[in-house]
Amino acid sequence: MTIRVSIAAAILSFCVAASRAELPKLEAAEMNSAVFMETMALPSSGEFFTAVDKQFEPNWTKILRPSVPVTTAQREHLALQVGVLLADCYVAIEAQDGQAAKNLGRDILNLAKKLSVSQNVLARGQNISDLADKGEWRTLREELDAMQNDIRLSMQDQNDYDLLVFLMIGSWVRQMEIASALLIQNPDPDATELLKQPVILQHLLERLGGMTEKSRANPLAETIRTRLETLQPHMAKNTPLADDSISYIAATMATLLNASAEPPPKP
Amino acid sequence: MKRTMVILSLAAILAPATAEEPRAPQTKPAPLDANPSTNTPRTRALEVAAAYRNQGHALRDGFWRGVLEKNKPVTIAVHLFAKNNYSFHAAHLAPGTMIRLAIFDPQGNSMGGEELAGENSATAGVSPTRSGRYYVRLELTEGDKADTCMVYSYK
Repeated sequence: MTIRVSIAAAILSFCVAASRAELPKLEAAEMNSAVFMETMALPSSGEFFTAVDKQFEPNWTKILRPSVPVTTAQREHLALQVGVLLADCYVAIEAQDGQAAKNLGRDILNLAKKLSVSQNVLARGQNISDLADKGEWRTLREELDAMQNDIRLSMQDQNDYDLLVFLMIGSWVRQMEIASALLIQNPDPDATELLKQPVILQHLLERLGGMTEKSRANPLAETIRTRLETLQPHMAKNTPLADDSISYIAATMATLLNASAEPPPKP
Repeated sequence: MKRTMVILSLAAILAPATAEEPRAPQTKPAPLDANPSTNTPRTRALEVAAAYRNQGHALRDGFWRGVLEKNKPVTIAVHLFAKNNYSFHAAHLAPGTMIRLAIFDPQGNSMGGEELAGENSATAGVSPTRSGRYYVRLELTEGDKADTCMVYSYK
């Protein structure tokens, strides 16, 4: 105890609480060259829905939806669906619906197996099930974030960089679909900021453009790219989004989610 | 608020092994899991963040790790949402070295919130009123070089 108090006193002497008011403004060059890491610069669905929850206090149970069966074996479709399901699992956490979180976790694992990444996430799947049973929602949110990163790392290990792009887009599209639908039901100019993510949109478009020629030729990739590009003028505005922009974003996201669930056209 | 941050950070420093809630057992070490038996900048940063977990913050799994050098600050882009509370935590293991962590808004203005620098760690918290891209800057205020890790939490 004495040692702890001594340590506390010693540490306290090092502690400096300072105001950052005197810090000079960041220069444009410093902002433009800022480190952009997807695991930090792209917010998790958990972060997004936490903000959405404070803004709208929605009935998350009503937002929960049954899993859409995936009728294709195309890996790009599967990766996109994994992203969608990850976002849906965060919805289940917000709804504090343990059974739904378990079901979604199981669905994610099933799709992950088809993408050959399941070995890296099996342990996470079990943890998600256990945490959902216990109702440990905060830890469950962290575990889901870790699972998403494990899937990401697994895809990177297998050189499936393009699948990772579909995974990210799946989560993002589902987040935006939910938030735009809530904004249509609860108009609030300030809250439209939630939908204005031009840097993230640009990053996703650049990642799509950087995929292999084979992946870019995938009809789903082409649909996503052309649809997302049409969002840029809406997100670039410095003013709150108008109602028609919100409706457009909502319709675009719904279209993309439908396209991801449909089997690809036969050659 | 300032007093709360000092208390929270002291709690994290004094009881690093016990502050974090026990996590569900892993059947396999996951790549991004902190291993409490090792002493790394990441485990140190997570220890500092643990006090905020006890206040209801959820930790992001992602992190930045790199070597900070004198007069060479590192700026990291993040996307923050209005109405959320964020805490950023950076730590290193280099003796005689101190770091500073500061948050800037989308226009590059200092957020002017709370920040705390300890012997081997720094923490800053922010509750943005606007959603958008923000910047976190890490810099050495004492010493020449430090292998550093930054994590963040939100609620």
